Amino acid sequence: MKVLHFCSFYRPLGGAEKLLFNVLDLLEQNGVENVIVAPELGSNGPTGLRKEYFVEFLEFPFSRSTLYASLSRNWALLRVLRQILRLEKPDVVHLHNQQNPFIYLACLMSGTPMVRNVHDPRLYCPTNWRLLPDKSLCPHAFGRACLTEGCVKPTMADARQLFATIFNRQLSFWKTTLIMESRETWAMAIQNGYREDQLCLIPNCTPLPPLQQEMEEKASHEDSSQNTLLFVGRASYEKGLHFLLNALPRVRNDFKLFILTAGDYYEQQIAPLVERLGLGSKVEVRFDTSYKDTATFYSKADVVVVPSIWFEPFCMIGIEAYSHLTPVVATRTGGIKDWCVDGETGFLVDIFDEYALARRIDDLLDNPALRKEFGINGYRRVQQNYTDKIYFQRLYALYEKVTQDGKDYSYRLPGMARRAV
Amino acid sequence: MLAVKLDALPDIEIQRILVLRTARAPQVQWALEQLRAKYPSAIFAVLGTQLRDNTLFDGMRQFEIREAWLKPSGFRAFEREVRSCRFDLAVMVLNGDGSTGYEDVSRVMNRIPASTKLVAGFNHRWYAWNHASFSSGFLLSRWLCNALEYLLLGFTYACMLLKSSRPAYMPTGQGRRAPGYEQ
Repeated sequence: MKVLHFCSFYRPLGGAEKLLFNVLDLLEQNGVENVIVAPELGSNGPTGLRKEYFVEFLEFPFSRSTLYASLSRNWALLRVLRQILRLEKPDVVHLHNQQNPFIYLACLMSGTPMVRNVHDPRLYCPTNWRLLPDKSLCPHAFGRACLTEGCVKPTMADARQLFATIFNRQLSFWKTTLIMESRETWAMAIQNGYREDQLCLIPNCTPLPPLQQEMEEKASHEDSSQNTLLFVGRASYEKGLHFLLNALPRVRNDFKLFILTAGDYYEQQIAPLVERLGLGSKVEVRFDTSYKDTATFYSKADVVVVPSIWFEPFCMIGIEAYSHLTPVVATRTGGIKDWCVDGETGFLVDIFDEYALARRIDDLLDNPALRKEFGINGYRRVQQNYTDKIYFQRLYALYEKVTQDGKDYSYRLPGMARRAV
Repeated sequence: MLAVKLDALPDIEIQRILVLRTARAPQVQWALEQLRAKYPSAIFAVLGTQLRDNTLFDGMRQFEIREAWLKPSGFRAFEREVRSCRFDLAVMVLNGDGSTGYEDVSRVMNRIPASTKLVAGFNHRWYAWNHASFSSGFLLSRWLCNALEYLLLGFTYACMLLKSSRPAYMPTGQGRRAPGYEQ
C-alpha cells in the first residue's frame, strides 16, 4: 500500500509532529510505502528516510493575501499537486494538520480517498482554538455565533480567513474520513454537521518501554528532598500555563516546576507573570528540549500537570507521562477525559478552578504511595489502549476500508472531481 | 529575490537601521545579531507589532503598530517621524521562504526613504528588497479581483449570518468563565 502524507510541519515540533513521525515509522516497519508532501520552509528539511516533496504555498496565508494572489499562487499549487498525485498514484492520501482547501481540491480531482487527522477544531472554528474572545470555551457550532460573539471581526483579514475556513470545511465533507482522537472531538464534529460514517475514532499512541525498565529508571531518579512538577507544551494561553501559575501559590508543599517549552510565547507572556507571582525561584524553564531529554524529565517528575483550558483534541503529554509511570493532574476537558481516569491514574479538576488544582497537586505530593499506584495504573491504561501496535492496527484497517469504499463514494464528489485527471 | 552577502555591504554609511518586525522573535533576533555584528556602532529602531515588554527590543527606538498586521494604514501615524529619522538601512524579516502575504509590509518598505533596503529570509540568507517580488498581478486584473473579493466576502458574511450555531455543546466542568489572566 502506498500512502501520500500532506503535513504542515515536517520536523520535531509538538505532539502532532511527534505522532506523525511515530506513525510514519510504524507504517514503514509494516511494509507501507510513505510519500511526504510538506511546505517548502527553511525548517522543513529532507530526512532521506522516504520520498519527500517540498512544495511552495502549501501553507498559504489567506488572511494576508488578496483574492488575486490567493488564486494565482494556489492555481500553481494545484497543478503541482496534481502532478505529484499522477506520478505517485497513492492508494490513500493522509492529511495531517493542513488548512489549505486547494490541497483538498487536488485530492478530490484525483479521486484518491482521503483520511484526515483532526488535531484542532479549525474545520469548524475560524479562530482555531474554539475559545471566545474572553478566552472561555465556546459552546457554539460553526455559524452566526462566530460573528455575533466577536470571533470574526468585520475586517478584510478575518473575512478572507473565514472564506478559506468555509471552503476547506465544505470540501472536507466529500470523500474524507476524519480521524478523531477522542470522544469529545467526535461529539464536536457531529455538532458541526459531519456524518457518523465519515468519522473514525483512533486515539493517539506513544512508544511504551518495558515496565521493569521504567520502574528501574524511575527509581534511579527518586529524590525525596525535592518535589518535582512538570509542564510540557506550548506556553500559549490555551495550554493553561497562566491557570497553573496562578494556582501554584496555593500549593502547600515545597516544589520545583520544570517547564519544557518552545517558541517565543514564554518570554512574551509567561516570564512577566512568573516574576509578578514571585515564583522565580520555584520555576525553571527549558527551551527546545529533545524528545530523549523530555523522557528523562517525565521519569524524574513526581507529578505532571496538564492545565489545558481548551477542548484538547487528545493531548499526548498524559499518555507519555503514564508510559514513564508518572501520575497526572489535568483539567476535565477534551481528550484528557479519555485517558485520565479520575482517582485511578490521576486527578481531574474543572477548568479555571485554581483551588482544586492546587489541592490535587498537594494530594499527590503528600502521598508517594498514591503516586506510585497512579503511575502503574496509568502505565497499564496505555498498555491497554494507546500502544503503537493498537494504533497501527486501527489505522491500517481504516486505510483498507477507505481504499475499498473509495469507488462506492465517488458519486458524492463535486462535478469537476469526476473528470478524468 | 536577489541574494546578497551582508559582508559585501558598505560599512561606513550605515549608521541608522530600521527593522520591520514582521516575523517571530527568534527570526528577528537572528537578523538583529547579524546586523549588530556587522554594524556595531549603528543605532537601531524597530517598527511593528508587539514590541512592548519584549527584551529583544530594549534600547531600540520603537514604533509600535496597534493593528494585527503591519500595513500602510497603520504606518501612516509614524510616517513623518520615520522619514525624519533618515534611516540608512531598512530591513524586513520573513517568517517563511515564500514572499506571499508580505505585500502590505513591502508597501510600507516602499514608503521608507532608506538608502539600502534588505530582506532577512527565513532560510537565514539576506536578499535585496524589491517590491515586485512581493506584489502580484497586473493592475487591471488585480483591481477586478479586488472588486470581486469585496462581493465574495460580503456574501460570506451574509451566509454566516443565516447559518444557525445550534446545537450548543458544553459538558459539565468545562463551562467556567475565564478569569481574565491575560485580557
